[in-house]
Amino acid sequence: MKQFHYHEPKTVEEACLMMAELGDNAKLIAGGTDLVVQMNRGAKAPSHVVSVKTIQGLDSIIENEEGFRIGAATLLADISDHKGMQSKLPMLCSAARSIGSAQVRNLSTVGGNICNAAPSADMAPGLLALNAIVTIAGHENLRTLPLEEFFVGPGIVNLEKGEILTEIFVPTPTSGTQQVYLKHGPRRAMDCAVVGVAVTLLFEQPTGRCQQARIALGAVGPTPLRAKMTEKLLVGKTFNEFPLDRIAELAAQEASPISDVRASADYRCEMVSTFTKRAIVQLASFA
Amino acid sequence: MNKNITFTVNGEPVSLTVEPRWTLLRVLRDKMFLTGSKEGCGEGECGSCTVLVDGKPVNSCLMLAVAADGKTITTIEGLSRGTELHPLQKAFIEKGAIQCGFCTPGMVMTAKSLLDKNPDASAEEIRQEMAGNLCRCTGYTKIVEAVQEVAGQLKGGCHENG
Amino acid sequence: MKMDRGQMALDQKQEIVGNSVPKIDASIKATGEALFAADIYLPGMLFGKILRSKHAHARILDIDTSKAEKLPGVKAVVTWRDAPDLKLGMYTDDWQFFAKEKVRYHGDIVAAVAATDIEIAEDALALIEVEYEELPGLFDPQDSLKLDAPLIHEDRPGNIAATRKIRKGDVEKAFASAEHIFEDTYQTQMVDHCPIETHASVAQCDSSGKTTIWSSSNAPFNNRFLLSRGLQLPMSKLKIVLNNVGGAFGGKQDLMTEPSCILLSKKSGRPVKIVVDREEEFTASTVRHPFTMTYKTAVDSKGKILARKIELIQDMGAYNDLGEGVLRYASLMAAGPYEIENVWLDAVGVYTNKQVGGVMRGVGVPQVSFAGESQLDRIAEKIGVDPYEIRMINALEEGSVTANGQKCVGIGFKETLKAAKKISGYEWKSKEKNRGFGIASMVYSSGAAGRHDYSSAVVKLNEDGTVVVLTGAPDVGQGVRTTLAQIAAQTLGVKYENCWVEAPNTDISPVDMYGANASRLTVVAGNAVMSAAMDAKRKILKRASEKWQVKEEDLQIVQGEIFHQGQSKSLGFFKDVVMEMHRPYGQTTIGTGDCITTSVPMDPETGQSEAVNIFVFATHVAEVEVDPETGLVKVLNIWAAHDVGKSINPVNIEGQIQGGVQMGLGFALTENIITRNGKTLNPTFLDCKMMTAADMPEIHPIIVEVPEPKGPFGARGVGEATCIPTAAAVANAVCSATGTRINSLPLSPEKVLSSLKMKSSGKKTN
Repeated sequence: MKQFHYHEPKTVEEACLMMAELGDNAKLIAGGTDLVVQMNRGAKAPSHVVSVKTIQGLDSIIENEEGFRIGAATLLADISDHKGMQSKLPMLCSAARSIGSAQVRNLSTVGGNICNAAPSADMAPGLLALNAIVTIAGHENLRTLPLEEFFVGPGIVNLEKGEILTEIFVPTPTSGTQQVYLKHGPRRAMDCAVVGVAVTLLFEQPTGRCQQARIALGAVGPTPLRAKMTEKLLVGKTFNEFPLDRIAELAAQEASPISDVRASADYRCEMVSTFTKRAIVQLASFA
Repeated sequence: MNKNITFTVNGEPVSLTVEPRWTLLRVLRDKMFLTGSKEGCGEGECGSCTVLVDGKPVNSCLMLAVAADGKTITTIEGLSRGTELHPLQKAFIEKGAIQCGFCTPGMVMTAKSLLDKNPDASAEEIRQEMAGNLCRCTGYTKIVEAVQEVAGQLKGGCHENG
Repeated sequence: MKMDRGQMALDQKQEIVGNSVPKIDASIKATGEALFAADIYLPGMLFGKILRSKHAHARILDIDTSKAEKLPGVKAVVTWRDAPDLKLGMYTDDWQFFAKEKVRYHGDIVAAVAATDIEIAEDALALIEVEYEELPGLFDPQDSLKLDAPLIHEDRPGNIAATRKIRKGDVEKAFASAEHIFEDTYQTQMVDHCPIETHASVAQCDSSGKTTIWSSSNAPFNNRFLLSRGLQLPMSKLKIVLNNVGGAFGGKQDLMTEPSCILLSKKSGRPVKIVVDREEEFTASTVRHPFTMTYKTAVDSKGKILARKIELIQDMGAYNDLGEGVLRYASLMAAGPYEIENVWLDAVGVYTNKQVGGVMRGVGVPQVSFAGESQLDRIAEKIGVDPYEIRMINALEEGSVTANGQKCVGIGFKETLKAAKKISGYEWKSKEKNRGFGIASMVYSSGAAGRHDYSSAVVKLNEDGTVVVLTGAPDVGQGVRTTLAQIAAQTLGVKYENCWVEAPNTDISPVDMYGANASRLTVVAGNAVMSAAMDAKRKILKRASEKWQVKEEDLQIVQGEIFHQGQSKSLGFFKDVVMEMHRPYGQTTIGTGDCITTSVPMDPETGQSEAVNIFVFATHVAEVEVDPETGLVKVLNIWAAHDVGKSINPVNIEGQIQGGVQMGLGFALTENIITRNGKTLNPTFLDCKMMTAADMPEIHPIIVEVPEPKGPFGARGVGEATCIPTAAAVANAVCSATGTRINSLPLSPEKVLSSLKMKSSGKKTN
């Protein structure tokens, strides 16, 4: 690993200033589970590393009526174990639990998982399907952005020089919303998703019509993505009216995966179909 | 570039000057000669380097030593008291859970944190929680049995937690 | 009082062999005290890194190390210029420690650096300038075999590294009249041993010319032989010390770090440590050879195998290394554990510009077992015979003659079949949808097959009556030190706790030629230790007979006390007699012993000979569930029945079986080193996936004991067999669950799904 300067800003402002000054020579580090590996392999060699772990308040989960404000430096382990999230955002807890090992989850942060912008990032589909909003701090201003607009490409996010992700806000889903994240990989642990599918569904009662449907896909495009055309096929229909085969087909069409050592593009498309259908069937059975 | 860090390792306060690029594992092994923690992959995939930081298991190969400033670290060397082994260590020996022994320190540390959190963990929970510790010798069966054995003792309340 | 104790000793007369005593080294491994090669830190020690080839095949035009040498902190840089200019190998001299004219795969060593810090050594590697002229690479044995293919080794025509033949009976005649003939081609992939400890060594060359190497080796004497030749150092100047080894599985006899370490230490005058990282382990260490296997089998309508014609193509990688031995094992066992009158086999090992194949648990037999056992299932299905029955019909039994013309004596193959079937509840056709059972068997040799195999031992009695065993047998986690302590204790009649087995040190330990390989140590080193213990015991009993004026043959030692036949009162303590040998007689009681096997080289034209040392048999039954929408295979259970002859330490054997099955399942389902143009694309545990605790099914070890006349206490080696039939059992189970057969490993979800789709669309699958 190449030598670097290590900085421990105490405030978000300080961190932003540092990142603005240091520019491309600097990398932010939170848990380091990705950056340290990259630096070790020589794939990344920043001359400055700026830690966000020393910034107060960046690692807490605040729950109120509107939703959950999740600090960017919140550990995946803390998300997985958070009682409030377990009851209202269970798919985020299970997504967090599906990442790496217990040891990794005690280091990795939700902000890191998002900012690495790996197409397979397990937190992304769930957060997309829950319409998460990210808060981005610059050294002068603060802006918010739907998560969907945060992802630009593989490894690239919508952060300007001197900006850092500080918070992810997840609105409390409307009462009765069902949610699930399904991850597919060859092993039952320690895998990157070959395909990840997050679905939320809200059925109007007593008609049983689908009022709201959101489907987000991981590992099947340059960024995690929403399958919005597929979602439209569900709205206004009861479960029995869902055109499941068409849904599966369309979801696969909305994906644009690549082939790599983990799977071929064709297989990934098929798995989008399979797991989108499975997620919908699974949720409908609770409705 | 170098940083001074102060942390507690196995109950002892330690002050060291470290390079920012050194991982916690590098410092434990190369600077403190605590060689019980092993490097199996250096990428957080095998768990051989597992230590407890403030009671929680982490991959010490992924954590920069500078980030350990102010923390409390427990390594395998801090688990037994003199010649008195931790119940998990005894169970690993008795159940035949040790073959080459390279993964064992990491396995024991993960198991300890698991039982600290969930004293009556089931076999399935043990398997899930310990998935980050790879073993190439045992097929895991006897490791899971050893952890279960201690979980059983904890449940029965006849064990003093080390 | 004494009489009571004596009576107690006689009454309890605990058998140490057959008992699951705790391992000799378990407690230091539980506490982290156990030192592995990478745990050694010496005063003034430097840290080394190895520069490996950037290309799969290239001519080296120039190596310029001057910039690296000038980097502050760098103490030595070595290249081929620092080593004797010669090629060597276990079978063929085709490999130079440091590449000189050419690099032949991505792992070839070009240079090595030692520096005061590992980071400096890493930086120095980047400063070494190597000028290459790229050459066309060969990545598929079929391409290497083409007439116009470039040569990887200029002196190896046709890129052929090794060949092997078997000729028994007349296959063509049998095919001409057979009722059913089946012909299929199978392929297996490249996998790594994946010991959790990567290769590591520390070398210290002092001013007297003595070199000490602390190594992670699984075959120190083998290494000494090659290092002595390759570096032209007399063996007396070359001491290899093993402490603890973090798993090997056959992969740790390749000299991945030692030559670099030694030369760097010699050049710098300081101790040097090299630990390879995981990526290097995946890309540059030896691997299991990929095989392409064509099987043509004739059977009659009842399922009796009439003839088998087999062609094996082994992807050798860039060098022969131990590949020729792997081809020999694969050839010997290719026909399977069956009595077949007509067998014809042609096997060829072919050079490619890929990772070098080495020996890996099972030595070529996991590959042929997958092919032969998959085909046998297809045959059974086609002619309507239960796969269990077809194995019983053809099974080798007492007096059967194998493909290499060797008569089977004292074997327990059918017992493994029966036990596996009974305990698993195996059914040919599962009643549950998408579920199925699969059965597969294997034959293996305990002790090197087709070459003489030997080991020696020394049993030294301390004056307090405790015992030290000196052996060259390396404990790589399989527990051989425990096994040997049990054998010594049982033979001498002393307590297990009083026996210590010292880890190998080539200056002190008597020779053990092949190390942890070929499931040989329990048998070969075990017999040597047993014979050394008997030698020491004779000396003590001789003294005891003089002392108490009784006949030597009427004496026995039980739990450290000496008894005269028929008497319950002991004559005295073993330790007191040992002490008397010290004072007044001034003698250390030392027993020596050795074992040489009777295995004979295969005839080059017919393969016929008594090549197998001791036959080992096993049968695995797998129960799987296949997800028809994803192709994911979930293994529910594995029952693994192994004839171990005599179980010296049952818990230890269960552990071997459970661990071997983990490796077998990885081979079956998830492990696969993927290369493109000779470069490894997935050199991580993340993408070359071994099974985690969460993935492993229930494994049910079934220990069968048919005593082996040549084994100590009737034992056979078991370690390698444990991973051999698993993949075929899983593949057969997948076929039983889905009706589709896949002829190549691994059975990835994608491959299974595509095979299911082809089946439903009515196409033939391969």
